[in-house]
Amino acid sequence: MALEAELETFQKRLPSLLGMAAGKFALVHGEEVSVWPNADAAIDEGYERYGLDQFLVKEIIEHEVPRYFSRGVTRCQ
Amino acid sequence: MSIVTGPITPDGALIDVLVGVSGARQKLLERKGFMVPKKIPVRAVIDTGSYATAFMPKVFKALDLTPLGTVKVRTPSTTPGEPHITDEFDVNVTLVSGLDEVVALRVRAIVSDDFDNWTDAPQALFGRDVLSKCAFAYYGLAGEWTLAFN
Repeated sequence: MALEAELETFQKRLPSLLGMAAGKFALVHGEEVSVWPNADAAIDEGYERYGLDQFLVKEIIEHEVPRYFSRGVTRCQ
Repeated sequence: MSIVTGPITPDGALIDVLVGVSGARQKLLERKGFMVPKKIPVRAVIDTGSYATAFMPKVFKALDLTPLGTVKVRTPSTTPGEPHITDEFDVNVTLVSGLDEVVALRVRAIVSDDFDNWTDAPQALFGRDVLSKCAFAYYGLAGEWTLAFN
């Protein structure tokens, strides 16, 4: 699955990230994590640092609240 | 102010857009000497009930994009406490009026294949992430909608 390693790193580091950067956005590549004020800044930096490699941008929050979408969703394989 | 108008049809408030890679990704591709994928024309339906904008998987594939996030989503088919997880993509959405490109927006779009496949059917959904950046007027009696951007 895409982003599997990055999601694992994010979950591992979430407790410490919550203590110092709740509400900000994590940029994750492999086991490398950095913090950015918003999603666009994190994505821009991701392209700058990692080029066309895969990277994850995720909001630093304790519990992700599901959002409502009016149709079925899927994942890109 | 930029204004885009369109029809209200039996499928809803339809809008034609062009979907492309974000400006940041375009710069990266150009710097590396790669071709920038052409923008893809898509017909979307405006939906105030959806938090995000979504496109069919084939749109992201055509743009050669990989996801850069995941998000938990409730849909009509989920049960409480068991949301679906979908991928997020960084794209640029350009609103068009006739032949003019009116407004370009950076969007973190999600993936949905829950659209009919017949000609002219909407193949995407415009959610509140886009609507939060403009004024949206729905003139039911006139069968027309308007989006106004500062």
